[in-house]
Amino acid sequence: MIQGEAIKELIPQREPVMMIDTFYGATATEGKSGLTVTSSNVFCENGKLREMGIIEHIAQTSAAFNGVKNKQANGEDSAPKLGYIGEIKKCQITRLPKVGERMETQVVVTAEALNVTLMEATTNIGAETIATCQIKLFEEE
Amino acid sequence: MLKDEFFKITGSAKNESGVVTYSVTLNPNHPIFSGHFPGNPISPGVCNIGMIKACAEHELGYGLLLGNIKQCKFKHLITPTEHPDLDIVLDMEEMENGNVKLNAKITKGDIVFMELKGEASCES
Repeated sequence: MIQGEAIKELIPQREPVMMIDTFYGATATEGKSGLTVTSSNVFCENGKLREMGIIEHIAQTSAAFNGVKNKQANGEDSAPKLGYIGEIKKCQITRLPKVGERMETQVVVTAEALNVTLMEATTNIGAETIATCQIKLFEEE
Repeated sequence: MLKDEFFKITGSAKNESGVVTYSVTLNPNHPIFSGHFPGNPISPGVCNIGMIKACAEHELGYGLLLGNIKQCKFKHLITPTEHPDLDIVLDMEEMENGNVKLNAKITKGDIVFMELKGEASCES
């Protein structure tokens, strides 16, 4: 489990755009992260994390998964690569997390090619699924 | 949240088929750019989605939950140094169930930065 400052070893984003506070670990094809919503979150409004925050949380879960894979392939000292969202599909958000609530996102790799990763994400608050999404992530070489 | 802070609306125009184009300008000093990424400011894809949503809300006069993004393609990176001025093109349809069908893109000149197809619900 990776938390706090160590998250910066996995993803290139920095405050105030960091949207994961914990990365729980990765298998060959799956990764999981979490974020507790705080009122100071840049994507929070009127006590709720907006859609942008949820989708960025999903994107950074994918980025952290890639960060772990990058370290496994290229060594622990490998810095996280810059990455961008290439495409989002079938993104359903049924409700917004409130300040104090914790959301956790599981990503599963469905396809990989060179610097492109296609993933399916599920975001839960407790047992309740609040968002599902397909995301394509590009990474710089 | 993003409107008037991350970006500001500088104008809008509606054509005869109801498509609205908002002219917007990015704020290069917004803290988001210092974290995404340090020394290399790029508008996060989610902020591009957020700008589209904010302009749609401005046009409709009410808040939206963008709960269904059918497809959103990011074709070109937006940076506040290279592309501070953008056009947000909105083709919207208010449906009988109260939802809003949204087809939108962000462009400038010949460049299409992103395209979004989705459906939003009214947020009271």
